[in-house]
Amino acid sequence: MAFTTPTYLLFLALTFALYWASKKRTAQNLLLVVASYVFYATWDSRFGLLLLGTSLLDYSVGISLARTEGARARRALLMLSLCGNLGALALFKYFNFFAENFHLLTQAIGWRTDPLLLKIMLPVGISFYTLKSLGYTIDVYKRRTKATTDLIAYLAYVAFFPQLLAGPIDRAGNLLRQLLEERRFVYPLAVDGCRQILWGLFKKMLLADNLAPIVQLAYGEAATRPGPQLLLATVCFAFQIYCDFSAYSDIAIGSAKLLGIESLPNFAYPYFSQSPAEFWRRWHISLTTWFRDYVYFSMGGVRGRAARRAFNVMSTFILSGLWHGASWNFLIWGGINGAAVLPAMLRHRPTRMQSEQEQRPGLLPSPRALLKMLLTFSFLCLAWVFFRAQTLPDAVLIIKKIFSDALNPAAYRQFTSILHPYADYPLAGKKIILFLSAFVLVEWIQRLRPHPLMLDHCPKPVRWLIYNGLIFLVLYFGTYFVTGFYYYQF
Amino acid sequence: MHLFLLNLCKFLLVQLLLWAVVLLVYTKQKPFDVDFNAATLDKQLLLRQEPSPRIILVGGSNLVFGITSPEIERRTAYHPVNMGLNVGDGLAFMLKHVEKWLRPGDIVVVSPEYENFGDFYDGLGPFLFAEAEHNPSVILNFTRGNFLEVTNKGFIIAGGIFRYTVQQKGKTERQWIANKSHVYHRDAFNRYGDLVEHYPLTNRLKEGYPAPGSINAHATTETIIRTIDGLNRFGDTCAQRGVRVFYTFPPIPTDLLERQRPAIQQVEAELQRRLRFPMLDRASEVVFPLDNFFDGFYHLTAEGAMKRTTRLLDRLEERGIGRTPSAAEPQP
Repeated sequence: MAFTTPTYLLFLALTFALYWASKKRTAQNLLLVVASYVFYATWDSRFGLLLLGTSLLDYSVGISLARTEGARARRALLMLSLCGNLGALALFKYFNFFAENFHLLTQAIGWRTDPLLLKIMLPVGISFYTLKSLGYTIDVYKRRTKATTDLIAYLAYVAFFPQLLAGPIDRAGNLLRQLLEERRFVYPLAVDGCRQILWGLFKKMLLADNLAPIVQLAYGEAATRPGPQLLLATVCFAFQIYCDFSAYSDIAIGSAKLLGIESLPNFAYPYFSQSPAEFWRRWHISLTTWFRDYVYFSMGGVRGRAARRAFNVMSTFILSGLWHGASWNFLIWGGINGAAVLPAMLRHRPTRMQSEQEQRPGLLPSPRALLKMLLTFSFLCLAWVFFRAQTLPDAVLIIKKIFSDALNPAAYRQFTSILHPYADYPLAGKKIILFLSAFVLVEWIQRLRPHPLMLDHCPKPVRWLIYNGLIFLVLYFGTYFVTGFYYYQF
Repeated sequence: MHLFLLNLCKFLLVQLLLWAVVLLVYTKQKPFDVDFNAATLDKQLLLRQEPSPRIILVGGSNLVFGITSPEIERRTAYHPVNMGLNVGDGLAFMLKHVEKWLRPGDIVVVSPEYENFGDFYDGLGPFLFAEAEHNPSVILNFTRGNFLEVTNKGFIIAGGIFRYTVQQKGKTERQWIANKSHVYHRDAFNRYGDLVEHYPLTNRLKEGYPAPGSINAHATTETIIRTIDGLNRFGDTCAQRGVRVFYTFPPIPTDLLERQRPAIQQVEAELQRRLRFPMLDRASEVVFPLDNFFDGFYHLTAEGAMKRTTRLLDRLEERGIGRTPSAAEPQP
C-alpha cells in the first residue's frame, strides 16, 4: 500500500474515523497497532513477526533497564538490545556484502574460500524501525527517557504506520511521549496535515516520478552517453531524490498530524544550504540527528584532539552511508560527505539550522549567498553520482565523463535530448525545466515555513484554487510514470 | 472536528463537481460503442448465447490475433468462442469472467501470456477499468486482487481520463476508427471473437522489435505458483461442472524464445510440476518465424493464426476432441 495510491488514502480515512471515534488513549493506540501491522502486511506479512520481535525485545529491555541499578547488568541489557537489533540488520542487510568482500579479500591474498551467501530478502522498513527502537533503549539506558510499561503504546511507537517504511526516525521523547498522553483533535494541525500530504503527492508524482525515467535512461547507458547529458541527469537525480524522499516524509508527517501527532521534521529546504555542513542539518534531519546523538556523541563528538574529532566525523558519515545500503558506493558517498563537512566540524562551529543570512525574509539571496548555494549544490550533485550509480566503476565512469567532456563542444550536441526519454513523455524538454524552476521558486519564497503549502496568509478561495489546481496538475502530468519511493530499498 | 469534516466535505464537493464536468466531456468524447474494448460486450453475449458444446478460448491478445475460429468450427463439432482480449486484464479476471457461463460438455482452452505468471495476474488497473467502463457488469467478476489493483491505480486511471479529455483524444480515436487507420476497434472482429481485419494487411514484426526485458513480468517462483494455483482452482470448478480444460502456451517468435529461454523454462517447469489439468504443448512448440507476426510478439498474422489453430486442433484431436463431442471426463 504505497502512499501515492487511493488505497492508502482510503486506509488513512478509515483509520482517521475509527481513531477519533475512540475516545480512550489505549483504544486509539490499539487501533494504531492494528492499522500499522495491517499496513505492514500489505507489503510483506512474513516480516511482521520480525517487527514484533524487535518491539518486544526493546520493550522488555527497557523495563529491565528501569528495574536494574547495577552498571554491569545495565550494560549487558544494552548489549542485548544492540545485538538483537543490529544482528537482525546485519543478517538481512549486510551479511552478503561482508561475505562477498571477505571472499574477495581472501582470494586476493591467495586463500581459496567459497563465498557463503544468503538468499534472503530485505524486510521493508527494517533500517528505519531498527534505529527507532534502538534509540529508545539507548535513551532509557542513558536515563534520558523513562521506560514505558505500556506495551500497546510501545508497539504503536515502533510500528507507527506513517513512519514505518521510510521514517522520519522519530524519538521516544517525541512520539512515544505523545502516544502516552491523551490526544485531542486540533483543527489547524489536521488541516495542515492535509496540505502537507497534498504537497508530498505533488512532489512525488509530478516531479520525482517524471525525473526518474530521465535519470534511469542516462545512468542505464552511462557508457554511451556524453558527459553533459550525464551531468544533466545527475542534476535531475538531485531533484528526484529530494522530491521523492521529502515527499514521503511530507505524507508521513501529514498523516500523523491527522491523527493528532506531531512528528520530527525531516527536511528544511536542503538545497538552499550554503555549505555541506548546513546541508546535513537540513537533509534527512531525523537520521542525521540520530547518528549525531547515538554514534557521533557516543564516540566523543567534538571532544579530544583534531585527529580524534576527524575520526569521529568520518566514522559517523561512513556508517551513515553504509546505513543506506550495503555497497561500496554508499560507503564512498558517506565518506565524501564526511570529508566535506570535516573542516566546519573541526572549527567547532555551533550547529545552526539555517545560515543567519537566509533566515531573513527577502525575495532574492545576496550574490555571495547564491554563489555558496550553487557551489554546495554542485558538490552534492557529484556526491549523488555515487549514491545513484549501480556500481562503483559506473560512478567513476560517470564522473570521468562529466569532467572529460566538459570542454568538448561536440558532447553538447543534443545535450537536452535526455529530457525526452520517451516519445509520448508528458513532461518532456522545456516543461520539466519549467516545473523544476517553478518548484525551486516556490520553495525559496516559502522557505521560512515548514512546508510551502502553508498559505494561511492567502484568502480561502485562493487557497482552494491552488489546492484544486495542484490536484489536477498532479493527475495530468504525474500519473504517467509511477515508481515506488526511492528510500523503500533502504 | 465538525468544522474539519464540514470543510473536507465542501472541498470534496468542489472536486466532485469538477470531476462531473470532466466525466461528462469524457463520456461524450470517447467512442465507447466502437472502440477495441467494446468487443468485450460482443464476446460476453457470444459466451452467453452460443449453444453448447463449445470450445472456449481464454487468454489475452495472443488469442485475439492467434486463432482461426472458423477452422475450429470446420474440424470439430464444437462452437468456438474466442474470449481473448487484453493481457492487461490479467488471468484472474479472465478465468472468473468465463466461469459462470460454462456448461457441461464445454471445452476450455486456457492460453495465458507469460506476463500472467508475474505482475499481470491480477490485471493492470487501467485495463480492468477499461473493461468496467464498457461493461459495468464485469465488476461482479472482479476478484479481490482486481479491486485492489483498480484502487491502487486510481490516480493513474483518473489521470488517464483527465488527459484524454483535455487532449480531446476521443476525436482522434473516432477518426482512426472511421479511416480504419488501425485494427484496434470493435468491428475488426469476426462473429467468433477473432480479430480478422489485419488479415489482408502487410505489416510484419521487424527484426529488433521492442521486446520486454523480462517476458514473464518479474515472475518469481512464488508468483508462478500463485498463477498455477489460480489455474488449478479454475480447473477444479470446471471439472465439477463437467467441463474439460486444457492449457496451451501463447505463440512467440523463435528468437524471443531463445532470448527469454530461462524465464520461459522456469514457467514451463513449474506448470509441468503443478498444473492439474493437461497441457497440449510445450513452450518450444508454439514458436513461429518473425514473418508470422503482425505488430507485436504475441500477435499472429492470418497465416500464423491458421498454423497455430491447426496445431492446436491436432493436439485436441489426440485427446479425442474432434467431430464428435466427447463426454466430460473427470479430471485428476
